[in-house]
Amino acid sequence: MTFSPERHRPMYTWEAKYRDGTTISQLNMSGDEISSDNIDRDQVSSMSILKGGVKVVTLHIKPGQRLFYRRRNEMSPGKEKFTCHMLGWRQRVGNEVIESVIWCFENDHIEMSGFVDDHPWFYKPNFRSFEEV
Amino acid sequence: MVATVIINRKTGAGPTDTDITTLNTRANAEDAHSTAGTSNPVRIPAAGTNYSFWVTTRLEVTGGLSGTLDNIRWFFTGSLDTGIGYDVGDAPSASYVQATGVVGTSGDQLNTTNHTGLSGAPVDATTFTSGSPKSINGTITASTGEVGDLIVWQLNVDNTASPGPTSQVTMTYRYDET
Repeated sequence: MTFSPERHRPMYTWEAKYRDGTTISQLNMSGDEISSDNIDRDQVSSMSILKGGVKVVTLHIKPGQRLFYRRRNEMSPGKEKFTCHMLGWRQRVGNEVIESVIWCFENDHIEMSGFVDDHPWFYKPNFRSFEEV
Repeated sequence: MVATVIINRKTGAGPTDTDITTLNTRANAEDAHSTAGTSNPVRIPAAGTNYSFWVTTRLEVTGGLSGTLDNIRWFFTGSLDTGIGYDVGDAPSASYVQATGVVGTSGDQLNTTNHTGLSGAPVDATTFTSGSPKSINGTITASTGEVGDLIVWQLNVDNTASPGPTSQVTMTYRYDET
């Protein structure tokens, strides 16, 4: 299989908004894609999932809450890949870390749930250092 | 960025990779990928157990990854026919071992003696479900190439099995991208 940027242009993309009103998108001005790792966690105020450029769902983030995002993919030989977008925030309150997570499936189905270890989709990601609270 | 990821089946001494992302692959009594090969089926034994040659698969990123891919998981779905078993193990990426056995009759049993690269004894693959998958070591960041440990599995056939192709089962990978 040969990689083709045109063929793999995603239908679902993310866009994050900063507290100063500026935005950062998965697709930059040149049409190239960037990693969600590039979102400034200290400045982000919301993150949206878009389908074909139209917002599907938006997560709002207050100061003190730490954004995380993953594209969770499932693939089997002979079957089409299926993706769920995990976007949420974490916050330390005393000795406890609280989380809020939106699960946006690429069949236009959205759920909200905390992490569930034995759920097919709702298990934790491997948090990056900039997502720690 | 959206990574392009494929599933490779590894065969031969090299090994040789075959992209099976859009295919089915058969486990026969030979170390070869086929979607419908019937030349070397696993023989139904009069007693005891015969085996397919073990099958080795691994994920590969072929493009598009600007973040990190990790949290790889693997699980089984489907129903096994009477007389058929399905065992799975894993091995570090550098510990590939070519499948061995008697072509057209039976593979050698997948265990830590015959496959010295395995991380541990194989277990019944049906224990790994979508809610309780097998975790696979491996991560890759902003590059291309293979990622994750090797998954190695094998079909077991006893004397209660019926001739002909078995019902198709599915092996599924999950992974996260940032």
